[in-house]
Amino acid sequence: MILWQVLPTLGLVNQIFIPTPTTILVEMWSLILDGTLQADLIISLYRVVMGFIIALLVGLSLGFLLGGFFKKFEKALNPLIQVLSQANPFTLFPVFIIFLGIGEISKILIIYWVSQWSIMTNTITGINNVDPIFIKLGKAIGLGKIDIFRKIIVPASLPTVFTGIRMGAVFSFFMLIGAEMMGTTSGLGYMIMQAQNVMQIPRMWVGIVVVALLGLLTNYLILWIEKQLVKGKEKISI
Amino acid sequence: MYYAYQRRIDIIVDNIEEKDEIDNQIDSFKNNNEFKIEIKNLKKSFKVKDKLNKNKEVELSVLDGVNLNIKSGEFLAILGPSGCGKSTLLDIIGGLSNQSDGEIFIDGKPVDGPGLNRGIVFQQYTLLPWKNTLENVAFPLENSFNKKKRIKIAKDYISLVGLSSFEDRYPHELSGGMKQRVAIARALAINPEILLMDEPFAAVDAQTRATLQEDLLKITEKYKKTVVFITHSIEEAVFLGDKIAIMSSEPSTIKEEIKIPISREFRIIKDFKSSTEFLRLRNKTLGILKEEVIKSQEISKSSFPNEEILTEEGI
Repeated sequence: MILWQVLPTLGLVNQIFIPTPTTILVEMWSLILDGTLQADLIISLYRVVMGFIIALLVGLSLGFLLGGFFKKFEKALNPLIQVLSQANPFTLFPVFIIFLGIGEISKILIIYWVSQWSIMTNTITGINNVDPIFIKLGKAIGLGKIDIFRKIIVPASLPTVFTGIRMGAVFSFFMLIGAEMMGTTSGLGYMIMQAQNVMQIPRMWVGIVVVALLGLLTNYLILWIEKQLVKGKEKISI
Repeated sequence: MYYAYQRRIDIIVDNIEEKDEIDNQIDSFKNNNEFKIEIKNLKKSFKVKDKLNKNKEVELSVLDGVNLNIKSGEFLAILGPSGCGKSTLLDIIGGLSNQSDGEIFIDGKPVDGPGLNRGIVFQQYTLLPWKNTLENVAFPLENSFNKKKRIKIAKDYISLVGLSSFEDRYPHELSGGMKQRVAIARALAINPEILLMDEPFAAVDAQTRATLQEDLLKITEKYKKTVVFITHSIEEAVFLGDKIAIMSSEPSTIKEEIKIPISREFRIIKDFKSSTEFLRLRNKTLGILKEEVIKSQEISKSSFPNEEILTEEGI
């Protein structure tokens, strides 16, 4: 942070391309005052939250269903999941636009599409990695299939599931900015792209900083939720 | 004065009547079910892939006609060479897997799946990592008691195994011996008549092991549990068991049963482990077991002929 402030001030780095943090803050304040930043922020948040929530719902339920109850079906479906999740989402974006138009739905759905895979596959992996002895224990104390799933498999797989959710959140921010740069007239991605086109460099940096902060904030929020839900996790330090 | 006297008499008479009643009950119980667990000609085989031809499946017989009778309140230790199907036998008694052939009765009823009359303690640490000690012990009670009752029962059993001050610790904050104590408390919490234990102290250090053994013996004596205890340690079997069943190498049967003619009180209070009687029993058991261990090693050698050729060439 100090280097960032000092180097452009001393003229070692070109101030036009990398402005100092103070310049960015001043620009940010003026953008907040005229309301453009909030407007872009809200529309971006709306897209990313909607996409991410749909991804959570679909990814988690499909993951738990495929991993927990339809193992054979999951094995058959696995190659397809691999292909779909590996397909570069930016190449798929035009396809989404063709089918769904250029409106909000196509953006929300592409964000959902991208972030669901890590959530789904991590959920399946998490369930597959539950120690069989725990399931044996569940049977030994007379639990039925649904109780074993609810009381043993779900909590035991939660740490891995949360890894997937965090990755999904990262992907959803990636895709948000990508989608907004490709085909919109609003949102943070559009703001960054537009500022760059008209050489309003500080404004572009405001966008970059806000997106980075949002990503960080989301990550901490999910970590906090994880900490509330996953108990008894050993802290490892090397 | 008179009333007090009269009252004492009444109590004594009541007690005598009660005792008669209990005796009658015990007698009728003995006549109906002489044994708590009866195992008749039990067989178990698995389908495994053939070593030479991967596409072919062959039957691997693990248990080949096990016969065993366990009395109510008896502590049976099962000894055998490693891989002889001890755990498989315990799984079948626990209802966790099905036998291929033969019958198994508990209180005269054939075993059909797991039940709350049997508490199982596994060899591995099986405490749920996301639950603390109290929640782990209360876990099997969730479907049968309300929360208040559950916690009360769990607390009782935790204090029984001496871990009251560790109630809110998570499993990763407990030592191996403590984890197995909690697992024993959890198995006891459902108040089972039978305790099935699959080498529960195998991963615990020697000192902890000795105290765990003593505590287990005291607890099972106090609560009159029938115990089936699997171990590969001869000392453990001789110290804990009222009876030791020695299994033969695969495919297994019960090769011999040895009665330990020493009362539990003596084993707990006196220094039984350093007595000559202990050594005599240990050596007797060792003698029988040794033959089986040698046999089982011969079997595993002959089933890997290629490996032998390889090592010969290597030398």
